[in-house]
Amino acid sequence: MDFKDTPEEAIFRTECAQWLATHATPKSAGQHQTFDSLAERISASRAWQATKAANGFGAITWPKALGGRGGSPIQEVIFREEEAKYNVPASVFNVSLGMVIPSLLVHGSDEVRARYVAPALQGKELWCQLLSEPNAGSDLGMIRTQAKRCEDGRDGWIISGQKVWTSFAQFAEFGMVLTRTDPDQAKFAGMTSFFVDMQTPGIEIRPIRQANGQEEFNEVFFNDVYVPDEQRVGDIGNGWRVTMTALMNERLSIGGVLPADLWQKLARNIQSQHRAVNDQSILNRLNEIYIHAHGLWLMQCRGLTALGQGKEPGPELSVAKIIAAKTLSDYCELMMDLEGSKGLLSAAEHGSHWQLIEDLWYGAAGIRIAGGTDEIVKNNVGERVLGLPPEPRLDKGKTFRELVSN
Amino acid sequence: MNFEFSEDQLQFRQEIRRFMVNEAPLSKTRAILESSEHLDRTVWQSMQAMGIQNIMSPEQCGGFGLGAYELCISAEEIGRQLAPIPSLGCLYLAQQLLLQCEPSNIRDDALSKIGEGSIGCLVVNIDDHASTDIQLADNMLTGTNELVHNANEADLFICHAKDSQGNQYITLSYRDTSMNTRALSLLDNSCSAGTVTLTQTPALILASGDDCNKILERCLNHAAILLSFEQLGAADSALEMATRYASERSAFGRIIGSYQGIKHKLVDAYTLNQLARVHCYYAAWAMASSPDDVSKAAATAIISSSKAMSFIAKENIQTHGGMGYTWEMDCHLFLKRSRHYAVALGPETHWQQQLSSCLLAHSTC
Ligand SMILES: Cc1cc2nc3c(=O)[nH]c(=O)nc-3n(C[C@H](O)[C@H](O)[C@H](O)COP(=O)(O)OP(=O)(O)OC[C@H]3O[C@@H](n4cnc5c(N)ncnc54)[C@H](O)[C@@H]3O)c2cc1C
Repeated sequence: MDFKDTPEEAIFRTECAQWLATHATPKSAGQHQTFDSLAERISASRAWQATKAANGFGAITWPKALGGRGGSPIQEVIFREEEAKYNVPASVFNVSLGMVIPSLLVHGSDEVRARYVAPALQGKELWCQLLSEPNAGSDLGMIRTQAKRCEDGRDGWIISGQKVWTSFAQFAEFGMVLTRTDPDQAKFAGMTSFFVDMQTPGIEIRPIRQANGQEEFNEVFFNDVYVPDEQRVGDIGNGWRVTMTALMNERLSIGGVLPADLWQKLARNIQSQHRAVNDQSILNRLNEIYIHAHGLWLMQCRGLTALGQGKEPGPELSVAKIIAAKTLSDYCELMMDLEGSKGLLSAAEHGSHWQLIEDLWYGAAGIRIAGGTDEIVKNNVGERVLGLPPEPRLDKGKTFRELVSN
Repeated sequence: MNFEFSEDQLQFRQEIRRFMVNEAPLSKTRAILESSEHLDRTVWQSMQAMGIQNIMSPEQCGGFGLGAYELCISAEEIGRQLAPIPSLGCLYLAQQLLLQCEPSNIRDDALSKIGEGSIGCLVVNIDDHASTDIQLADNMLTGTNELVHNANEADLFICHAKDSQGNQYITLSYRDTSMNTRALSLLDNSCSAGTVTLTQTPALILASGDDCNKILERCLNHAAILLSFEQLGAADSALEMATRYASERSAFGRIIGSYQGIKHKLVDAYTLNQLARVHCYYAAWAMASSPDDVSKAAATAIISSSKAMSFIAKENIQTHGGMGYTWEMDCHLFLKRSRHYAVALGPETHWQQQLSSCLLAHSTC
């Protein structure tokens, strides 16, 4: 075991550092880029993605033929570690480049890949993921948004229904939508995926205000939206596989969630307060945050090592999201507690560095829900990793139509 | 042994609950959060008409002269509605401090004013983080305090001050042009806190010398007990909200409350709330009739109620899934408030230290 860069890794790190030094400004301690609006953050993130893509850093692990670097997952992490030292906008491309496009690469046609992958990589076209519905979140197999074959001779489909919680839909150029094409099959069997231009007539997007007052996610209504058959992704009835390909791709993205210097910041803060340094309960909380944050990093290192050896990363990474959300929340609350009674002030009083704490604190509550709730993750790990018997399932052997009429 | 509120007190709770549910629905808290105001004066006025500001005031001040229990009960009901009123600054801090002072015309006038609906605040060092430096010279106050609960709306200011020799005083001033308050932006803007700057502000003396420490200590303990009741109400309210949703929403063909992942979570919350409840009741008893136990009981009550509130505020969101993360649902009102309560009277470590010191001091009996 060895945590030092190999000679090749060290060369790559230097290359990243040199490139970053000429294209971005280094962060001063604790600095965090803030924007007046989400729209501004999105454009800044698009511009930074374009710069990276133009210089071969847009998607480290993608093949060169697709505009990527043909690099390894470990190189991806090295780049992220170096990038985190610079004052660059937080990426809004996790869904776009981390989930939707990878699924399109697997399930899309050659023409579709040729047209859509490059602009997405360059940040020109942002993609969103239209899965959840008001009555189908954890139970995604129950989506009702319908896609019906056109009956007027056009070779296409009419989509109608409602999606909800779609992150960045109001800014996205395109979206991947999961629909029901055959209600008379079992719930996972009768679904089909399409991609849509978000400007298509009949698509109506209404931002939803979140707990923190910001509007990142949306309700998206499909009012008889025409979609040509060329925009179908994968076979008819294969929507669940297309969706799973997208969701499985999320696994190694922990590095992006937890700031690498999380516990160091906290330790510095504690060190500057005489009382806190002498308070074992505070120190214990610091220790616990370190145990979790560093533990996550180590789990990621194991996963990367496995990938480097051509193996599958271990299943323990499935619980990473649960640990990450809790660690973030604990971190923010300790930072607040260290301010004493002033911990109740907002970033408007504390200064812009505090915006990160507020954003992470609210964000942690969202992470516990988005992309599979804590409870659903635990059910999955219990059943798939520990091999425990599944919960009694009431939907086995029934068609979607039967399930809905119940 | 009798560890329960009396029939009259339970009856009183029913009345206050009905009253608060009508007068202060959560929509009012939400409206304050969305406005530039930090309190709802109509709620405060109808509470005054109901007599809540007069519960513990002595009769010569127009009050009912009741003990701590009724105010504790009211605090719990205020918490259930997350009512946007200056309960912490005025009822738990300023009024409790006045009640600790020797009766005098100055004190009684102030209590009468609060009873009539005026808002009081306490300009004191809550902890070492928010600095305060108020000097008294020739019956005039000068100085600044960085964080005072409900200062911005206050009509009367009770200050902890020192003179040039370092002697301590507790003083009373009425709002005039010599004082400047600035509302602070908070994580939970349905609450209110501000900075206070005094420049040659006329002051009346309520107490001086060594008495000041004793008065302040008791006052902060009482405030902690009352805030614990408020949190307890809020925690119960959040648990009810979560339980309601878990009984209605279904996933995978089952009501989500039938899954142990949800059911056990809510029972964990219930357990924390019930532990907090008995510690709150014990603290109410100490406040009413056992001053020697107040320090220990106040610390226990606030630690356990903060823990309960912080847990259910998060798990209520979690139980609601994506809905819980929206502005439209009330879950975030509880989340924001949970952080406010957690540090408003100093962070948990402060109370943990107080509790362990009490326990060590009593280790031999
Ligand atoms: C910040 C954020 C961003 C999001 N972005 C997107 C997006 O871009 N695209 C998209 O399609 N969706 C998005 N979502 C939606 C997200 O995927 C869903 O909210 C999530 O899957 C939960 O679904 P739900 O809200 O319907 O909750 P429900 O499924 O109704 O769950 C409610 C509660 O019941 C629990 N529960 C459900 N089933 C079980 C069970 N079997 N056992 C135990 N407990 C159970 C859940 O854990 C939860 O606590 C986002 C959500 C958030 C918060």
